[in-house]
This record gives sequence, C-alpha cells and structure tokens, in this order.
Amino acid sequence: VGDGVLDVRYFIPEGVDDIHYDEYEIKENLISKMKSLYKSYGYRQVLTPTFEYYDMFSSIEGTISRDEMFKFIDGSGKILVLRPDATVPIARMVASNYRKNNGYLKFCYVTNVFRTCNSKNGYKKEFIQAGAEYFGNKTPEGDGEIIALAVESLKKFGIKDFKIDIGQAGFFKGILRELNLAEEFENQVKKLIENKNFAELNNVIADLNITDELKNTLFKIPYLYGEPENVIEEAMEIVLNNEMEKALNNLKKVYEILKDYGFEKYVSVDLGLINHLDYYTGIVFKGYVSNHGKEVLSGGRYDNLTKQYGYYMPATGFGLNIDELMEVVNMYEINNNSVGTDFLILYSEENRQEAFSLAYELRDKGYIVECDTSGDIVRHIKNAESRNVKEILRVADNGISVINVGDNGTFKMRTNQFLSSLNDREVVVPIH
Amino acid sequence: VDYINIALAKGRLAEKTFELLEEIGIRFEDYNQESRKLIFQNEDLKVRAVFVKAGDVPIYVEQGVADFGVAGKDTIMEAESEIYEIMDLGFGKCKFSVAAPCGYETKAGRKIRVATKYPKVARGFYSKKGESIEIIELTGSVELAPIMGLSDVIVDIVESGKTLKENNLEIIEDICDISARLIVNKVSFKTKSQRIGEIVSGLRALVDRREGA
Repeated sequence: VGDGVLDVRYFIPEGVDDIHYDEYEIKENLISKMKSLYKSYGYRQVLTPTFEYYDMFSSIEGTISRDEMFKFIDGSGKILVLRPDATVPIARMVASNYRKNNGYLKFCYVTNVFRTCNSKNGYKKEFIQAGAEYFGNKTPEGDGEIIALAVESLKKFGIKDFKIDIGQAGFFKGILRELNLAEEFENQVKKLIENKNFAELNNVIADLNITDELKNTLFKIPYLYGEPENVIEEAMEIVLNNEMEKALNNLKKVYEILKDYGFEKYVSVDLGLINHLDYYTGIVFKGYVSNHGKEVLSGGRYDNLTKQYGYYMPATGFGLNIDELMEVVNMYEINNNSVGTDFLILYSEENRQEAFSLAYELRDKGYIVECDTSGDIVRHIKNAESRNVKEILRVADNGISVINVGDNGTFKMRTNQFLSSLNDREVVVPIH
Repeated sequence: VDYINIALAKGRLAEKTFELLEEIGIRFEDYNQESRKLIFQNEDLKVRAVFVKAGDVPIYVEQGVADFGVAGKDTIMEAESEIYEIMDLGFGKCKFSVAAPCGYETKAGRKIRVATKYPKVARGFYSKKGESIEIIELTGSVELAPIMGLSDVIVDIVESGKTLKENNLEIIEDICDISARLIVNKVSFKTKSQRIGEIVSGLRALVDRREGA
C-alpha cells in the first residue's frame, strides 16, 4: 500500500470478472437453453475466431465504434482486433464461403465479445453474446421469425415482464431523402430524435430552411412510439414518399406476423429508434426488461453488410447479452438451483475397490459422487455441509451406512439393497 | 407497484424541481432544505427522490437505478450518457462560453491551451471548428488559469459574467445555452411508460404555462 503502486498480481482488470461455480452453473444452463432453442428453429451453430484483422472491421459500416475495439499487433505488424461483435464476422464468413449456396443460411452463436468501453461507467469489457442470423430471406417473415426468436429467448430465461421495441430504419431514411440536409445538421437532428429531445429538436427544426410540411413531419417522429397499430396509423398520416410508405407497410406486416406467433403483448413500436442508420436497412428492435435499466438485446435487418464483403445476401438477426440477462435473473431470483453433490462415499483401504465400483455405478446413473478415505466423521460432515453434499455413504465390510447430511439421520443397508432402493427415494433425485 | 426513482443534485436545481413536483401533486413530506437526508419517499404515489452529486445525475439515470433525473445541460453534455433528454425545464439558465484575458489575440501556428472543468465539451466545440487544442483539466477556479499563464483561454459556464469581469476576463465566443433538463432512462421510458408519461406531461403542461405567463 505504501508507495501506491498497484501490485497487479492479485487483481483482475476493470470490466472483467471471474465466474464462480454457482453462477457458472446458471449461466451454462441458460446458454444451453438458448442453443437448443435456436437449433430447434433450424439455426446452425457457428464460431468465428476470437481475433481477426482490424481492417476487416474498420473497412465496413458496423455498429461498434473503432475506438471501442481492443487492438493488438501480430508478429508481422498487422493490427488485430478481439472480436468486438458477433454479426460482422459471420457476415464476412457468409460472403467469403457460401457464394455457391442456393438456399437460406440460418446461423446461431454463443460467443464472448470484447469492447474497451472507455468512456462508459460500469460496463463489462468482456461479455457473452448469444444470437441468430438469418441470411437470404428479405421478406417480413424473416424479420418476424428473428423477433419471435428474441421473444422466445427471454421467455426461456424465465423473464415475464419484457418488451421488444420495434422501429423501421427506412421510415426515417425516407424523410432524410426529402430533407437533403448538410451532414452536420442531419447528424444533429438524428441525435435529437434518438434522445427524444423534443425542446431542442423544435428549435433546430424551426431554423432549418425546409417546408412547413417537412418541419411538421420531422417534429412528430419522436412522438411516434407506443402501441403498434395506433403508431403505424399516426405515422401513415405524415408519409411523404414511397420509401416511407413501404417502410410502414413492412412494419405492419411484421407486426401481423408477430400477432400470429401470439407475441403481440410483448411488442411496442418506436419510429424514433434510428440508431446506426448506415448499418440497418429495415426493421430494427431492442429488448427491455422491467426494472432493469439497460437494453438486453438488439437486432434488425442489415441487407448491406455482406455486400461490403463483395457478395450480396439480405440478412436479419439479433444478439442478446447473456451477462446483462444474468443480472436480471439474479434480480428476479429466477433459476436458483444451487450446485451440490449427491453422495460422498467414505472408505477404508480394505474396501476401497468396492467403494470405487459403487461410485462408478452411481455416476453411471447420473448422480454426482465424490470419494474420500473415512476417518474423523465430524470433519467429513462439516466438509459435506460446506460443499452442499446431500448424503454420506460409509462403506464397511457388511454393507453401507447412509448419513443424511441435513439431519444427520443414519441407517444401514446392504449395497444392493441401497442401489435398488434409489428409484423409490425422494431425498436424492438425479437431475443431471 | 415499483417505485419511480428520481435523481437530483442537492441545491437550487433540486429545490426548483421539488417545487414543480409539488405543483403536480408529488409531495415529499420529510423534505426540507436543512435536512441532511439523501432519500425522500412519497409512499402513496411510490415515488422516491435521491440526492446525488450534480455530475452524477446522468450516470444514475443511464444505468437505470434512477428512472429520471434533473440535470443542467452542462453536466449532460459532459457525461455523454445514453439517455432521453425529454424536456427543457426552463430554469437554471446560463451558457457555455470561451473566455480569455481582455485583449487576447490568438497566435497563428500554436495550439491553444484550454483550461476547463468540462474537457468533453471543450474538445467537442474545438473539433467542430477544426482546431487542435491542448486541454488542461481543472476542478475549480478556472478563471485563474489564463491569469497565471496555465492556459490561453477557458471554457466554462457563464451566468452573469461578473466573475469574469472581476478577474479581467472577457467572453470571446459563446458555445451554447444551458438550462435544467428532465432526463429519462431509455428503458424506464418504455417499461414504466404510463407512470413516467403522466409525470412528464404534468411537468410539460406546468412549464408551458409558466413560460406563457
């Protein structure tokens, strides 16, 4: 402490964390639920490298700022980047490997993602993202399926109170076409709409050299949020061109599809959702959970991405932040089954062989079994309590003593009796 | 029902905000200006107000531990948080300006040294102008910096201009106007839309009425 120099041997950097066994168990459980959900829809799992060339990310229009990428240099002086995003590498993979493919490509992934989060407070620099990408289908059905998967993901997490907020990038792009603003003003207007900064937007619009009709349209955008049918109807009234109308009709179709999935209660619309307009080309969406202040998932249609790698394929997809969802799961205390051991088998040297074969048999049945030499039983009970062991089995020449760690109740049995009684017992049920 | 949490900075902004909230029927019985409490609750309406440091209001709101907050435009600009800046509350008015010793002239071919408590605001302003600068980040008495030769100019909040004048400084450029803003967490705005919507529209009607008067 004295000279104030941090002895980094004992610390881990900010923004990363150890995952302890109890949390890991829950996390792994949730991840495998996500994987089997995506697989059940026909999405096939892929994995891209943990690091790739910086140029691969920097040369295209993505959603991650270049400043947010962890960069390092390889032996030949080329700049590498730790995977800052899952979608871009998958699009690169599609564009370079599947050109001869004739059908849809449906991919899913669970992978860690790295971001520097320099200017942000309390954000993780490494987190796990799970998601699905649907290539080759440019109809609303594709978007509907992706949003339905997002809804199902949150349901599978055991979360009940959540919202998927949907926008349509084409609607605002249609307005921009009419506006013809200088880039500086365009960015300013975008930012103000994104932040629902009604007052300042009003002032900025008033000073723009555009028709009153356009001013009126622009001013209404941040108010176009809420119940889908109402919002779409309101938005129809301020449509200025074909592009905007097409965007709204597309949004309407996606909403109809989600109704047929039975998911309308999870869906709201916000036409002021206009982030990353260079990346998204149609439907965009974000997922929110009640009482959790950060978005847990986001996605949308990105038809231009593979084109930038030289091969056009329409695409839509989403990614959800598993670590953010872990916070939600902890907050709502969902999924709190703790990690434990079913049996601890104690033996002496003479019946070690018998003990090991009992352990083998139990593990084969799906139980979690630990072994140790017998001795001080008090020490073993203490150890069993702290490791959440349910029963201790002490192997002796004439059978086994079963000690219930919860109430220390003991009874004796022959080994074959014990094994055949397992099916009828309620104390220990194999869940693995 | 869950609580609606409001983050406020102790001082004038908080007093004004309590005044407005009271007018739309949200009263905090245990609040008075002398109190050292940091949390006030209205249990009937399930609304809770917390006092945090001015610069921290946007952080509380961005992270969602507060559903909304009241902060000066200056702190919002400096925090660069992802939040909805929903309303100009019309009080706490001042401006961001660049000031320099009277008679200051920029020298060609040399980077300007800018002393400020708001490095992001200063950097943003000069990068828009296309000028490279050196930032000297201070935590107070910024006016001293050019006098003592620590910087060429300062970027700071100016209310009446009195402090500048007394220290022989003058405004050379205005950056933007500042006032108190109502900021809302982007998720709360959607997941607690009804209750937040009521408060926002109540405040908006009130502020519009006041500005009209």
